[in-house]
Amino acid sequence: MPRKRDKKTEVQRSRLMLNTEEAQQNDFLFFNNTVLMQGLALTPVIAAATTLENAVILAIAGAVLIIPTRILGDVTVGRIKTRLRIIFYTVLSALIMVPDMIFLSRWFKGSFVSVGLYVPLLFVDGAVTWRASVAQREGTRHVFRNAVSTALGYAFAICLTGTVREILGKGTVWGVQIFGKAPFSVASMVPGGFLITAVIAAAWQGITRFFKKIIFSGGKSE
Amino acid sequence: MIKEFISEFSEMIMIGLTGAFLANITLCRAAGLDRIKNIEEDSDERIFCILQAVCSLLSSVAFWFAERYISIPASLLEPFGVSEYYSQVYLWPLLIAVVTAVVFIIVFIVTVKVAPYDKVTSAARQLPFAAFNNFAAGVILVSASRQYGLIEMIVYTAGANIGYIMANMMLREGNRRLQSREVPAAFRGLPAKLLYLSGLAIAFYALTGHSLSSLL
Repeated sequence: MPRKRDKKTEVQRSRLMLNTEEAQQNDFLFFNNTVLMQGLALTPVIAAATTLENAVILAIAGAVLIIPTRILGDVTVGRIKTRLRIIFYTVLSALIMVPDMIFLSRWFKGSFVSVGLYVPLLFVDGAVTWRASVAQREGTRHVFRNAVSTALGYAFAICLTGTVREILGKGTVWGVQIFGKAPFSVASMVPGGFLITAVIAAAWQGITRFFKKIIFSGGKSE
Repeated sequence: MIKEFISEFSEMIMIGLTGAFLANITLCRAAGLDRIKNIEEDSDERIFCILQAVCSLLSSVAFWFAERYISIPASLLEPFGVSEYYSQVYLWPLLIAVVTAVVFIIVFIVTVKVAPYDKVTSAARQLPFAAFNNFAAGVILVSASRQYGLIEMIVYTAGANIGYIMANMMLREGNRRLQSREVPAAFRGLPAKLLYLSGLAIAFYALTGHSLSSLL
């Protein structure tokens, strides 16, 4: 009898592990963060997210592109040849980009200009187009969740980097002075963008590794 | 006549140098970074660079012509408070997407017919991402915003491609050392590559006259 119970517990445990693993694979917010773990959408993060406001503009612009492109792109699997699907993805995101830019320029006015060419450049970013090379359908239920997760992961990473860079590079947060003098002014430049994104990515990688260890060791620490 | 020629020629050289070194689009504008995470796993980097150079050059030329003949009527976007200049700027992503799609199809057909048998599969696999990436689109957007003429655009695109290949080679070379076991676990992979690129970017910034004291 105890042996039977042990077997049942074992099956339940392996099922739980499988579900956890699947959940991790589809989590683009934390475990597979679009920017900090997958290395996608690095261009706007490194070059243009020098302040929180810039980061918010880029986050909205990117999220508006990622969600519909990924959902509609999933419908094309099997209907358009995999090698040609990239055309569908880029033309669709370029089409969405036109109203996206018009509304963002109205909302953010001067700040939108300071982001420069990095908003229009988003239409062809890896975060938007990478699914074009995948020949498997995600399915209606998963595609929406994954699209939102990817967009949120990107938005969170860019806002985090933008905030850190603004504090270090200008000594402000959303324009509000925190330090009298910028502690590390190179943070506002591209080399600083590489450096700070690297440090944040390393911290992120360390934290996810720690959580994975906890999950897979069943709460027992070594 | 000779003076004019020399002045124009030196201007072209300056534009080319700007694309390759002074404002290297990868290290000073962070464009074309989508491949850096997997750069060590891909042995076909040379094919990718060639395809990207061909596609970006052809797309730049096609965009230059398309931009002259296709425009959104200013009156269409006027109700949204968009000026005539910006109504054209907002059209750029769509124009780039369309011209790149045409170039992609042409290059795909030519590649399949011309490329050596053992390289066809690799080339066909790499082509979509060589044609559609933020490096190629970035080069066009920068040239368009600077209102370059056709020759200037070609020279800038060629220079930018040289700059990309250089950055790519330096990253691949550095990557061998970045795989050392001495790199802390949290920094292995993407963070180490970004740190390395940060150092390279500082070196390229020095070319544009920045000194360490102006950076810090």
